Amino acid sequence: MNVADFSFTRHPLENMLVLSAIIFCAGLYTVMTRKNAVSILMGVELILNAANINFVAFSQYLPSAGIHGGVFSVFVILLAAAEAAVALAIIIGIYQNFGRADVDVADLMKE
Amino acid sequence: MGTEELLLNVVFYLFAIGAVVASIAVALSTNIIRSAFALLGVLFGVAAMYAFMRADFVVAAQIIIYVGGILVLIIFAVMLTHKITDVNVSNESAPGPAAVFAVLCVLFALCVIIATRTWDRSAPAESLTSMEKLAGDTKPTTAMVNVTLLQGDGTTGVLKGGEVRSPFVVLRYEVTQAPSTAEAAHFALECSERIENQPDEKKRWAPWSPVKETTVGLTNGLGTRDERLSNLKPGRYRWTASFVGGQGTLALAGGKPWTIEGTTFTVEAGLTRPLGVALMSRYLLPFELISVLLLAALVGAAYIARKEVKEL
Repeated sequence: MNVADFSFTRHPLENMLVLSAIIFCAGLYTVMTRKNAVSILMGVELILNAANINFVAFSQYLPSAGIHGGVFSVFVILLAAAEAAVALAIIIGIYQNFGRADVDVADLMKE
Repeated sequence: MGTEELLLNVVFYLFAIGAVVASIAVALSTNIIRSAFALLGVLFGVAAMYAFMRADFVVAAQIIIYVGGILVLIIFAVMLTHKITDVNVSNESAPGPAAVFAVLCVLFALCVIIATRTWDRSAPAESLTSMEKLAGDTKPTTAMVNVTLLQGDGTTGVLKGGEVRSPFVVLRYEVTQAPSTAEAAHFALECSERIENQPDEKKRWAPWSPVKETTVGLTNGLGTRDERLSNLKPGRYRWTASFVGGQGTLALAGGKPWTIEGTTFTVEAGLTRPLGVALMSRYLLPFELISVLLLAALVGAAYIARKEVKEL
């Protein structure tokens, strides 16, 4: 087995998929372990970026996939912008009401 | 592995490892400001990955919207909701080791799927040109040669409509059935470039200088041989391949040399033009819906974040 067999130029799709899997797992860990809402939002951004890498990689490296992955990656970026704007407005609202931006303080609907 | 390829690998792994380290820093850093700046590194690393995938428009969108918009918004939120000295963000109730274990399990499962799955790398059928097309007007012979046009990395075919997204392509000659081994046959490849704004029809296809005529020996019988054309400028190209030299049935069947009229293909400068066409045709409705959604998000965010005004 040769190191060159794992190189980017021989297997570009697999390299991109593994990279996106690692970034996805980092984002998943962030979402699972953080209590601060802004940190959780950062984890969500990591997950979205990992998904986006997959979209573009399949679109560019599989000829049968066509252009659709590229289009969806642009849509994902735009939706992430909208999501971040709304989420941050909510986070600031929580901070103004509770004095902290932790996700466990806003549990009024639980009762 | 050539110098160009080696350099590409080294630069790719530098950016990839940078992105991975930064994303782990986002996950593990206890200082939220540090997390936010590590996120900056991840976003730039991911933009570099898009550049490696030749998705130039997505690179621009990533840097402008993610780095210029979302990240600045996140840093604003951090500044507005925290004192700089307040760095304790980790969740005391979080099951740290359990989370690490679960995440590693997910990563392992994903890597197993990536390693074992075989992806459909076949090109759409019309982009393949084979010698069988030609065999119709000549005497039957035992030679069978497929000529396939591939994208530069050698793994992918040419997209529908003969569209190539990389600046280099590979012409793959695949001899599936050889003539007699004594026969010495050679392939001559001619690639020509379309000159736009040329009124004279005959002068419209000009021989493309860097690879004007390449001779490929096929004397070894069965096998595959790749011919790499590099540094193609964006534009329209077509190629013809013909047998030259050699004696007997293969070189001259029916008194004229065998020639394959290759497919015409376009070398795209990047993803920008195809994306623009797709957004304005097939994806027009989703595009408009997203613009409405962005407007709604803007109004909603402003409404939520505004200060309450008590009515008197």
